Amino acid sequence: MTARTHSPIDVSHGAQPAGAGTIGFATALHAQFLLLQRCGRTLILVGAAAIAIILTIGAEWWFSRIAATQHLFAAPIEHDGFALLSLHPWIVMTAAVWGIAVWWQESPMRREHVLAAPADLTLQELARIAAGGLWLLAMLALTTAAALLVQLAGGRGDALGTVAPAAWAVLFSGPLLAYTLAATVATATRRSIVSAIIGIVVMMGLFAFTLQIAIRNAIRDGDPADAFGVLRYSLFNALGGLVSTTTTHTSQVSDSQTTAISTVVHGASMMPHWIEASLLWWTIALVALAFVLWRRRRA
Amino acid sequence: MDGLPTRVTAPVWGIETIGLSRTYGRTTAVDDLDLTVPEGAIYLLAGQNGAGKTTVMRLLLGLMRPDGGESRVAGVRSGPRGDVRAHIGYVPETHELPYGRMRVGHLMDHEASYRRTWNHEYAGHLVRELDIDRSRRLGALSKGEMRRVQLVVALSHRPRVLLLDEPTDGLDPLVRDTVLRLLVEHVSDTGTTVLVATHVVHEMDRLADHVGVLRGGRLLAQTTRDELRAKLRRYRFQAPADWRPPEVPVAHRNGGAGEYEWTVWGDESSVVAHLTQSGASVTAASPLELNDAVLTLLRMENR
Repeated sequence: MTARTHSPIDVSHGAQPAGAGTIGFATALHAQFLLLQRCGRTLILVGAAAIAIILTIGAEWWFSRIAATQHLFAAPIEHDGFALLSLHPWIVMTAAVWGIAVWWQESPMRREHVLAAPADLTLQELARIAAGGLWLLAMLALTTAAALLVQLAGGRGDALGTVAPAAWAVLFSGPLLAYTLAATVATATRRSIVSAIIGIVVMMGLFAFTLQIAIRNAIRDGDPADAFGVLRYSLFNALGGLVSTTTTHTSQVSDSQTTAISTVVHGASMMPHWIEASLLWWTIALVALAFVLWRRRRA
Repeated sequence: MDGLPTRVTAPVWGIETIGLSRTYGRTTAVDDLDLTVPEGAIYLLAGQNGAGKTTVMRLLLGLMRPDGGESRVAGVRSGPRGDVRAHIGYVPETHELPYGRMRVGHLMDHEASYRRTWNHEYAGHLVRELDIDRSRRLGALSKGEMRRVQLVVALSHRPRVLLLDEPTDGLDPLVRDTVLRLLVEHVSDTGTTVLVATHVVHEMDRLADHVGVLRGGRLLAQTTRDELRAKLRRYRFQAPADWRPPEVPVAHRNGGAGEYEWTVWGDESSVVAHLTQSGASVTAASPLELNDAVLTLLRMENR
């Protein structure tokens, strides 16, 4: 077989004017950030933020006076230094759903319109994930600011001083971690239905988690050490567990929920554990994301 | 049948692949493909569903990694980096975008933000020409409307190469006519190299000047439209009962009992000479329509 070589190309000719080239990460990030808003997906975040703010307002002004509604929250709402922290499991849940939503109906085989752009393939996918993360952080900041205003207006501003630095940090890093893990799955998954199933599982898991907290709050001093509780504790809630990292609720099997939350929110001694757990889970998330992007690049 | 051309000549290639191969598991989608599209040509890549046309497009765009070989578009090697895609306007096979709530104008703005050579004036001209409403949501567009939007997006940065994957599939005749007319105008104005992958071959009869026939990921034939017209011809002839067929490269045989109709690849004078020498009397020799030519080539290999 004779050697085959490329013939020379006259690059001076053609309809396209000079200057065609690739774009960088900043431009891709900006474009993907706008795209997520323009295609309406950020409505998920806007809706979740609105619900969180409404619930916070309700907690400040009405819910705390209604005994039954207290069980919907992770802890009696009035005990916390910052009411929004009580909604944290729902915020983390929303972040996980958002991680799936950024690639909704855009499985790797249906991502041509994104990847056909003149940008590096990996950079493009990373730009989408980063854009989703920015939207999440923006919405978290907005929600937190609104919740702070509500609390200040309710005359409980002095309680904010009791919130530990770890609680403030986990308010943002927890949802972002959940988002990153979910977005990694969505980036790799071939079919949207798989993403949907994973999203549903995540939601159900978190719902079960919060439901159990609500039940435990209802029975308070009852024995919550059931099989599910033990399993959940060992997988997620132990120090270094995923839930411990993403939420402020490091509930302990043998303790009442109120005590556990107080430990996290107010206990400075929890900070080193939280940092270790965060480092562990962020490392897992970022290594998984890097692996997925590498695999996609080689597909 | 041996002797079908698989190489074309040109001073400059708009698209060139060398030994390009790609498999999905055990299925070979593209097999040692040497595709050569001269710069400025309108090249029809024909083949049945599953022949490997879309995979070729994706490999040219650098959206997937070849198992072997390489490809260049406008002189730039295809790969995961975006440089090759800066020179390509692409209309994918699908009419659907997962951005139902997005408005047409926003989609165009989004594409423009990626394309340094985006020509807003030209985009505006195309929008008017194709009667596109920029304020409509993508989810509310019909197939034909979506295809027109995709064409505007593909053409507005005036790419050096256009890759069109089934560009008229599913369109009604009126929209199809509009799309094809627009393509002709664009190409005549810009000299863009066009690779059209389609199984609706007859629509490209007046447009394509080069043809490649793909089957099972391999090129059965690759030639100019003129050569195809000149060399693949249908011969009608009469022959006596004891007639012994000559050795000519027959693509398709029909008839019997003294009346025959063969489609043969070769110079007409040579084929007629062979038939005459064998005792046959040629009554007509005519070129094939593009669709018939492609079908003949595909059926020939299917036997």
